[in-house]
Amino acid sequence: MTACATGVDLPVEVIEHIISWIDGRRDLISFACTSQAWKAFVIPRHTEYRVLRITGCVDWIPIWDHLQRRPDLASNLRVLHFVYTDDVIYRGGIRVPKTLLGIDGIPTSPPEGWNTEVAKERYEEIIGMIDGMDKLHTFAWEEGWDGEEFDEKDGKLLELVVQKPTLRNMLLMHEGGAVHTLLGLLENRKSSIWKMAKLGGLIVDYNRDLEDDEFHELISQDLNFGPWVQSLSSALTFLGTTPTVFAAHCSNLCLPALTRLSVYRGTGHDTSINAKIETFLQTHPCIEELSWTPTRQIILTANCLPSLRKLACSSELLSALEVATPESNGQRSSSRKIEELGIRWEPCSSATVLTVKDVISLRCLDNLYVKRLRLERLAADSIGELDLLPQAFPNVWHVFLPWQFEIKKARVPLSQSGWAQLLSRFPNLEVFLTTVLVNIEDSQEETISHTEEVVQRFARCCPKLRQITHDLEVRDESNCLDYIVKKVVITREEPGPEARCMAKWLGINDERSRTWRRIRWQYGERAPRDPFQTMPWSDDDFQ
Amino acid sequence: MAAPATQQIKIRCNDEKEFTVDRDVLERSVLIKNMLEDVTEQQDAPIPLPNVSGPVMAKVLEYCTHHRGEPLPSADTEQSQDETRKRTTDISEWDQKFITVDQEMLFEIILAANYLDIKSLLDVGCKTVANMIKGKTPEEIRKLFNIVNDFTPEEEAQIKKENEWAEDR
Repeated sequence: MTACATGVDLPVEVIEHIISWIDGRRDLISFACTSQAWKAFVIPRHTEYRVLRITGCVDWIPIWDHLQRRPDLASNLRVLHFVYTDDVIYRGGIRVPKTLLGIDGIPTSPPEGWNTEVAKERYEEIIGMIDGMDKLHTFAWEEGWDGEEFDEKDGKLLELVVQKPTLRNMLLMHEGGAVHTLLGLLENRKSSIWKMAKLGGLIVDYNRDLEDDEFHELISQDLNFGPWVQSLSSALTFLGTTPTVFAAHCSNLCLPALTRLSVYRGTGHDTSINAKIETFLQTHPCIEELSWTPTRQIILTANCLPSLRKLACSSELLSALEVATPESNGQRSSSRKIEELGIRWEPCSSATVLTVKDVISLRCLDNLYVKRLRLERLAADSIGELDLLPQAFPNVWHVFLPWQFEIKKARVPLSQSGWAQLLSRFPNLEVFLTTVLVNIEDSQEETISHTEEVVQRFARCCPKLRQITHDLEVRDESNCLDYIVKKVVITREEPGPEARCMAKWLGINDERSRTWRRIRWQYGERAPRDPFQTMPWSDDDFQ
Repeated sequence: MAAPATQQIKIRCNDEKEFTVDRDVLERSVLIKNMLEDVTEQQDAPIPLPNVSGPVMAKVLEYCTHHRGEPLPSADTEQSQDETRKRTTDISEWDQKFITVDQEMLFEIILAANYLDIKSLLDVGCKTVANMIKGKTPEEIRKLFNIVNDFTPEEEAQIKKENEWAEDR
């Protein structure tokens, strides 16, 4: 062997081995862009095999068949996400290797004879495949089997995942499966569950109303949930859970590494829960990211949450922060450098909708630091008053605004030209999110065409705009919901106003249309959650 | 009672440099372990390693000596799983210090680990290179690996465009 000073002379198997240790998609793409030969190594064998996000652990059998044939590809997966069907849209859509998708973005058909029973029989094999994923760092399980009793196979799956030394993030959601399995393991005192010393992010969430539920009783018993979380405390930087679980098992914990806390769903029904969370916040000044939407008045002590950088909250929490921020000669005195501010709206909130003037005059933060702004409901005296927002937050590059505003107690949608004018006043705007971009009853082609027209218009008036995310349904000939446009990426031939647009479509097949219609219906009730506020990890790299 | 003397094995590198090493240290290399198993009689002649130079072998032996006694990959399923799991953990502090060498030596250690079939050392080397790539632009990676760009600007732009979804949502 002659001396080898460069990477190009490395044998193929060594290059393959090096690439297998690259986690992030951006890094993989940079690597692929270096030369034709290295591109062939990376795309699609690595770029398509870092994240698998599918509905249900035993669905999508063709994918599992493929991974069974190719354990080399399976072993490179980093994120395995069994997403709850209704939440697919919040989680960035299904993610499977493109090479396994049909031309319309629809998964290839399951093999002949496939059905749920066959799938269940194959559960053992699937668990074996997951065992082979020895670089897995994130496991998200939002659904489980029948959901009534502790299932041994579910337990086996969770046990083997938690033993992986690479595991950094875990999300278990919905009472019927994943969370129940976790509690089952804790109840059975399974030693493996206690060995997750390196877990950095944890979400344990279940979805039922807590007041009248047997599950509430179950989880309130001594199931060691709290001590278990405490046992993770040395590394745990993110904790997400529901108000009752938090109040029952986490509020007395000391988690010195915790910088991110998410309490899902509003609190206020039981005021003692608010009090426990308030106390926890006072004793964890290192928290930098907080997501909590109390729907009743709360009290925070002066200078609480000094390290806050990202805040997703209700107006009640914001009010408490305002009160807790000392005023100095009528000037803002907060040293909080909040870069991301999201003000949510809970339907049962006791507060009135914030006005533009309320938002721009907040004392608890310095507007100039805000880079990302999310306002789910907003009132103003007039449409023209909206222009105060970009003036007050000139450094915002990422904004979510509701598609209609409350002007003198009436809900008023903005016209296209109104939007164009408002968005153009954000000098650094790169990403714009809303719920409804075009509100028309056209055919599929007309709707797409109209959307592209709107996007082109916005792109011309916002020279830095590169992405619009919104929810647009497109119906097929039989009036079934066929596609939802989630994201439009703006590609500019040259910097400046000349833009060419490209739309990403989340394709769904007919079988799933009913579910997606339901999702759409839910949107009417409430704005969608921002997935980045709820996940313990950022999977930007993998999108 | 004194411990039984460990068998000493001689190896010769491609620059004629010779090393006399304890057998259990050398057996961290699956290649050498198999070679030793295949020899029925004790032989005094050094084992030739034509693909490794003296300075690189010295580093490899430093690694093997430090990790002597640790479990080796085995056909036994359970043990093999343990080994796999061990391989996936972060680079230890000692290994990190050990692998802090110039780039030429790093690649040569990787090649030697590959040739000698020392999986844990190969992992350490490859993870280190992967970490070097992290956050770099294609041009920076080309410089790092001395790669000639054979893409036209249009082709490179096309790859980036096709993968634009990597940008945050």
